[in-house]
Amino acid sequence: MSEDEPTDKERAEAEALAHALDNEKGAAESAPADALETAALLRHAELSDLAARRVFERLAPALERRRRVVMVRLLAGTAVLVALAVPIVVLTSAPRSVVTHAPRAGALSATALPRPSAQLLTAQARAASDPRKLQNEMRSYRDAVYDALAARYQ
Amino acid sequence: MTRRGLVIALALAGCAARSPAPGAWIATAAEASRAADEALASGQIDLARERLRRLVESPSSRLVAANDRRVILQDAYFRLAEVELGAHAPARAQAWAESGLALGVQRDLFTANLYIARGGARAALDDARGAAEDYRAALDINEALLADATEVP
Repeated sequence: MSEDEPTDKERAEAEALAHALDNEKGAAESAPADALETAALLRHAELSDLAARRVFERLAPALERRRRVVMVRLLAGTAVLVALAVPIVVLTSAPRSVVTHAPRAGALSATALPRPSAQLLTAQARAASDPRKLQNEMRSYRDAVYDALAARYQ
Repeated sequence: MTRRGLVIALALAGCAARSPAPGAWIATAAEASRAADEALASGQIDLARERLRRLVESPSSRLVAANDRRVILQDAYFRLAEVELGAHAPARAQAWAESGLALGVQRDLFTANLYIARGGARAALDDARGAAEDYRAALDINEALLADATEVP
């Protein structure tokens, strides 16, 4: 027997390694420990994708459950927001009966009030000495102001 | 949604729900003003004061334009100040006028009225300089409004 020829022990280990690489049943029982470690190392690079897929498959049910919980919470939050927004929108859209003058929610413009007459302004200019005149003039102007406001907000 | 966000949203909804309807608030203010007129005409100063005071102290509608709210409330404050001046209570008159001016100074009849009322109160309280300043401010607005009223379109 030359030095290049394998010994019986070397042949047995080579066969065990081959069986281990093929992942045959019973290989683990007969193969020496170092042959199994070697096989595992050789297989590692090829199996990394497969291992990742298996890990994902194992985690998939948990991930799906988590996704459902998040979706349920999002839907519940949206439902709460809609429930809160509806009365706000309804209230801030009022009054609806006066279409041409109805103020828009969030952008209420001042009502165009009647201009004070020159007679009223003259009474105001003299109010320091004659307050009663201003009070009388204000009464009719006040009525006109309330009429304008009532027309808008009826 | 966080708990804090939910609390804020509920608070906003609550504020909108508690605010009087705009038409109802305008009608209530007009009614209070007319009732004050009638009370003053029959010499019931306390009743007139009470109706006007209730108007300025009750919650106003947030759904009425801010300037419209100011006009209504400033007019009521002006009338309260006038009532107190008529009752020889210038300090209270000045307080009402200042509450009205605190709502905002605009170049309009209602702000000018409040300057006149406060000027009258200050004059009665021997604050001649303060009274002159208020009358000056009222006249400045009055002249501008008079120019608008008499301008040819």
